[in-house]
Parts: sequence; structure tokens; C-alpha cells
Amino acid sequence: MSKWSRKEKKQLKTGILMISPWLVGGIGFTLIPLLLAFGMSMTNYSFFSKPKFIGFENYITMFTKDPLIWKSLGVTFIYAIVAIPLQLIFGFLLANLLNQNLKGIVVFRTIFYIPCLIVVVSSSLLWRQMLDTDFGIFNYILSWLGMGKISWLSQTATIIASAVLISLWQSGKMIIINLSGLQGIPTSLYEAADLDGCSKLRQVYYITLPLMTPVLFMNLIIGLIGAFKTFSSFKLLTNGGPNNASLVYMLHLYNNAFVNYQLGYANAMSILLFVIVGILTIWLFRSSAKWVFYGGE
Amino acid sequence: MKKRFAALLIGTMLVSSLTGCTGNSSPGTTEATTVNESKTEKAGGNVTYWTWQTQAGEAEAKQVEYVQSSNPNLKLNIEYTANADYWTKLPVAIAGGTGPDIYLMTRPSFELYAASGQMMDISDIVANSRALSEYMEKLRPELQETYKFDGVLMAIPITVESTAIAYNRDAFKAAGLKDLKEIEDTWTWDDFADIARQLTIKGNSGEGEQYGCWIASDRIPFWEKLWSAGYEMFDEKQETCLIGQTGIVEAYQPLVDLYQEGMSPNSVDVPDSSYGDDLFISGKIAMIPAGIWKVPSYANITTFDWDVAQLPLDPTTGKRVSSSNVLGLCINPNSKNLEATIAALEELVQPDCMKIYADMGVFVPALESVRDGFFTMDTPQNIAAYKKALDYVHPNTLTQYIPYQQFGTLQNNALKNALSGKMTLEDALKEANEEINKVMDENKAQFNQ
Repeated sequence: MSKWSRKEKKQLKTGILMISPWLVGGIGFTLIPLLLAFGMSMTNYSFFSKPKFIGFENYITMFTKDPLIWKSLGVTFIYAIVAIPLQLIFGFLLANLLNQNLKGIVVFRTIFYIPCLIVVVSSSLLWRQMLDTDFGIFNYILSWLGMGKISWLSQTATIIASAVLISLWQSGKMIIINLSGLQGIPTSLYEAADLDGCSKLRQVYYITLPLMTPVLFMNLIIGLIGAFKTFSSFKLLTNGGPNNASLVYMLHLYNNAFVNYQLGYANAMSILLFVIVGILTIWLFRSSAKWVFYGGE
Repeated sequence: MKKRFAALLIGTMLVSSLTGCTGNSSPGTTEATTVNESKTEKAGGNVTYWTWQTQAGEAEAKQVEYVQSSNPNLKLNIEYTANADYWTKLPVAIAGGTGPDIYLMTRPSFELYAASGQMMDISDIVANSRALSEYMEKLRPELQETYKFDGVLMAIPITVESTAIAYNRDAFKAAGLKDLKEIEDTWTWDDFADIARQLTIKGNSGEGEQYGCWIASDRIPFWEKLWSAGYEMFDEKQETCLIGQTGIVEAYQPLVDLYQEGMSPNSVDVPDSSYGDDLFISGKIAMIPAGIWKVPSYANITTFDWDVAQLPLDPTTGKRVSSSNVLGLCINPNSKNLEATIAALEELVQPDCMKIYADMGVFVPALESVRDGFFTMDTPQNIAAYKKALDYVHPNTLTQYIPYQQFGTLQNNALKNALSGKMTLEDALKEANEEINKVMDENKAQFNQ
């Protein structure tokens, strides 16, 4: 700073002033709450007693005394592993289909986008009715086809499948992002490929996919964070039941905070989630150098 | 010039973003629905009252009119929050030094809030208030005692509840069975099971076209069964959970057997017991244990004739007990307007004000002399069953060492495991008993620190 000229210092001050709204928001609404959450995670605070500093006891409890931590992490990881690739593939394929120059294609784009405008609470309640074992429409169709009923909301596998189905039904945003990425690919590349006799499948593999990797990477990051934060659909479909079969991590955190009133412990869980998602995100960013191709490379 | 303008613009953005984030400092107004908007904080006599009982909105609007006509200087603002959010928002607000002046309390949560200092000791307030002390004296002894913690009065009981069995009369007629009203004085839980079996109709593929009863992992009717059989959930000091004992397993087993025989629709996979109400209203269930608060929703049934009957007797003890959530009004220790709050309470407990609940069929007042209006409604015909049940209520007392919701979750998970057959009832209740006692021991240590 001592080597900076007066002009440079003035410019620095102006620059900081320009970004100060973001700085205030970032510090005030992200960094400070994060530090406070970490601080609270080192206490045994509940609404009904004053907080007492207990060090890392909450973290030790998490890893040694709370079996539901591993259960909920397992359910969440399973959901993420199933949901994210399916969302990416489904979003990509559907975007390709909607990227046709056909009359009325706007109608189809609108139809596929509408579900994501429905609030999660309403859609989850709706799906709960449809997935009902005795009176739901899915089992009605299965029985009409001569097949047996499925208890959609009674086992981990079927509950996760149901939640993934709901997330695919509401993947309109991902489809639109993919669609905008597809429309950013120069058509001259496809024309040149056609002239060279390249099949459509090879065009997708050698042109579309490589040029779409930045968009797919962004959707992957968003999908990863969304999968680990998933809460509303599981809360409304099954409330984590039966017998914690569908207890995702955020629901377990919510129960600890607002049912058991163990806020210190819940904060420790939120810090753990932050670390897990942070590690996975960093790993993805590092790996992106090998498979994400930005324009000009 | 440009830089000065830019600096001014950024400064304005900063200021507006900071003021935009301070939000509303008065509790609950952004999310709840207010019956009456408060005037300014400077105008004296504003009292805020929090409740989750949205179905009582119309009755409570009339109560506000009553209060304000009796005391024009008083401005009573009732704010409603959905049940699940209420029990999150309330302790947060009180712990944060804010919250309402008066709030509604449900009996099972009372001990925890009382032990944590989240409600005011009102013994002296009641003793020094003629209206409040007269009101308390008119209540039955068990109601006078129910909101005392360590002998100290902490809340004013205002309503009582009872339970009965709601049933589909058309289903009974079709099956050639006696109407429950005719046998309600003598029938037992064994009779209940037999009737449920006779009323269950399965389709060709084994699916239930009509189920005899609704059995769900809920306090109703399991708590009724437990108390009728002469057992309690906690020891006298409320420091140890006892739900794993053999007698309770024996009391619950017939209901579990009934469920596993297929006499009740699947209740294990559904996240809340209101699903049973939907099935009863649509005619899929012939009998359902129903709290008195269900009457307004069942009153809209038009597709079949329905009624209510008293709970069955325990076959061993010959007794029947109805669980009862006695609702009470508490004063927030953070209340900044205590005189106005006390004045509001004094008006709310007036017989003419309490009578509004009964006359509008919303709640049964704790004050016996004003209850009759509730029991004069046309539907159900046998509404008197609920009135008779008030003679054998057991308040839903819990303990300060475990939150009601957490106890409910652990108990209900055990019942779900038993109902679904994943575990035997004995193992499920023993496991739940151990978990509940573990939580209680941890919380005891916290309370005693």
C-alpha cells in the first residue's frame, strides 16, 4: 500500500465503495451468521435454557452417539447420487427436444416449465395424494394394468424414487438453462458437420456435449447443493418416516432445532453440512479442468 | 462530479439495504393474520395475544369486540400462526426478549415452558384480581390445579376437550348392527374390535372398500386406552417414562392386532393423522376416535348420516378415560404492558365472553356454567357423548424434561414400528421408553446446571 500512488489509492477507495453493497451483504448476511452458527455449535443452547460453552461436544455426539446422523446422511447421499445424474440427463435430453425449430414449440417449452412455478408445498401434497397406497392414482393405474400395488411411501427406495420423480417433474429451470446453452452453440458447426457427413449422434457427442459442458457443470453444482439441502418434499411426503426411512439430513437438522429444541446441536449439524458441501464443490471445481471446455479452448 | 454522484448512489443503496433488512421488530405480524391491527406503540392499552387456533377466528373476533366494548381503552390484537410454526416461533420470541403479552398454551407443553421461565407466575396477579380469582374458584378442582407448576399458578385454563367415537350410521345400518348410541354406556374395547371386523369390507382383490376403524400412531386412542387401563406415562415426579411397562403393552396390543388384521387403512405411511379425517368424511372408515375439535369439520358431511358415541370401557377395569388438552392463557414474562394484559385477561374470563366459544360451537369453556350452548347443536345428534366424557377426562400432562413434540415423535415412531409389524409392540415401546428416558436424563442435567 505504501508503494501505491495517490491516484491508485483513490481508485481503490472508489472500487471498494462500488462493491460495498455486496460487501455489507456478504459480511452481514453470510460471514457473520456463519461465525455465529459456529459459535452456537459449541454450546448446548436450547430455547429453554441459557447457552453454556461445551466445546466440541456436539460434534463428538454427532459422530459417536447419534445414529440418525449416519442414517440421514446415507439417505441424502443416495438421493443425491440418484437425483443429480437423472436431473442432468433428463434436463439435457428434454432441452434438446425443445430446441427444435417447429411450429408451436413455445407451447411445449411452456408446458415443461410450468411445474417448477408451483410451490413445493402444493406440489408435494399433490404428489402425496397421487402416491397414496390405497387411493392414489398411480396404484389405480397399476391395478388397472393388472399389476400389484406399490407402497410408494413406505420404503427408502420407493420414497427416494418418488422424490426424484417429483424433482424431475419440476426440472423446468434446468431445462431452460440447458436450452439457452444449446441455443448459444453456433449453427455453423452443425452445418459443417452435416457437410462432412457426420451423423446426428456423433454431432451430439463431438459438438453439443463439449460445448455444453460449462452449462452442465453449473447445473451439476446447483443440483448438488439442492440435493443436500432438500427438505420440503420429504417433510411433506413422509416427514422422514416410516421409521426414519426417508429422513434426509436437513429434516434431521430441522427436527433437532425445532422439535427437540437442541439449537446448539442443530448448528453443529449445519456446520457439518457446510463442510461436506464445500468439500464436494471444491472437488468438482478441481475436476472441471479435465472435462469442462470453455469457449476458445 | 461523476464520482460524487456514484458515491451518493452507492450510499443510498447501502442505507436502503440496511433499513430494508431490519424488518418488523414487533413479533409475528409479518406472518400471522391479525384480527385487529394495533395502533401505535405510544397509544397505551395494546395487548397482543398469540394463538394457533385459526378455526376459532370468528368466535375470537366477537370476544375482541366484547373486550373492547367493556374496556374501550384496551386494544386486544389476536395473531394467528399455524400450529407447527407456532411452537417454533413462540419459544424463539420469548427467548429473544419479545413475543406477545398473552399466549395460548396446550397442556402437554406446559411443564417445559413453566420450568424454563417462559411464562409468568400469576399467583399474585390472580389473588389480587377479583375477576380472575372468582373465575378460578368456579372451575372444577382438577382444572384449578392443572396449570400449577410446583404449586405455583402459571396459566388460566380456558377450554377443555374430550374424545368420543365418531361413526357412520349408514354403515352400521347396512351391516345390520345396533346403533352405537344404544350400547355406548356398556360397550368395551373388545366390542369395538368385533364391530370393526364386521364393518370392514374388502374388494375382490383384497383391497379395502370400507374399513371398520381408524388406528393411527397418535395419542388418540392410545392415551385413552392407557389411562382407562389404570396406567400412567410417567412416574409421580415426572422424571421417568413408563410406557414400556407390560400393562401398557397389554392395553395397546388389541389396537395393534386390529390394525394388522387389516381393519384400519394404512396409517403408517401417512405423515399426519388428518388423513384419517379425510377417509372418514369420504365414507371409507366406519368408526374413528375423534376429539371434540373435529366436530366442525365433520359437520360438513352430507353424503351419509353420522353421529358420535362415548368411548368404550376398558374390559379389565370397566373404566373409560378421555384425554383432554386443557388450553390455558399465559402471560409472557417479557410483557411490557402488564396492567393492560391483566385487564385483558379479566375481560376474557368473563362468563359472557367465555360463552361465545360455546355458542359458536368452537370450544367447550372450562367454566361449566357457560358450556350448554356447545351441546345444543343439531349435528351430531348425540353431542351429549362429549359432554358426558367431560366427567372422565384426564388432562394431557407430560413432563418438563422432554418437549411434547419430541415425545410425540418417539412414541409415534414406536407405534408405527409396531403397527407395521417391523417390531413387536413390546420391543417398540421398550425401545421408545429407553430413548425418551435418555433424552429426559440429558435435559435434566441441562435444567440442573
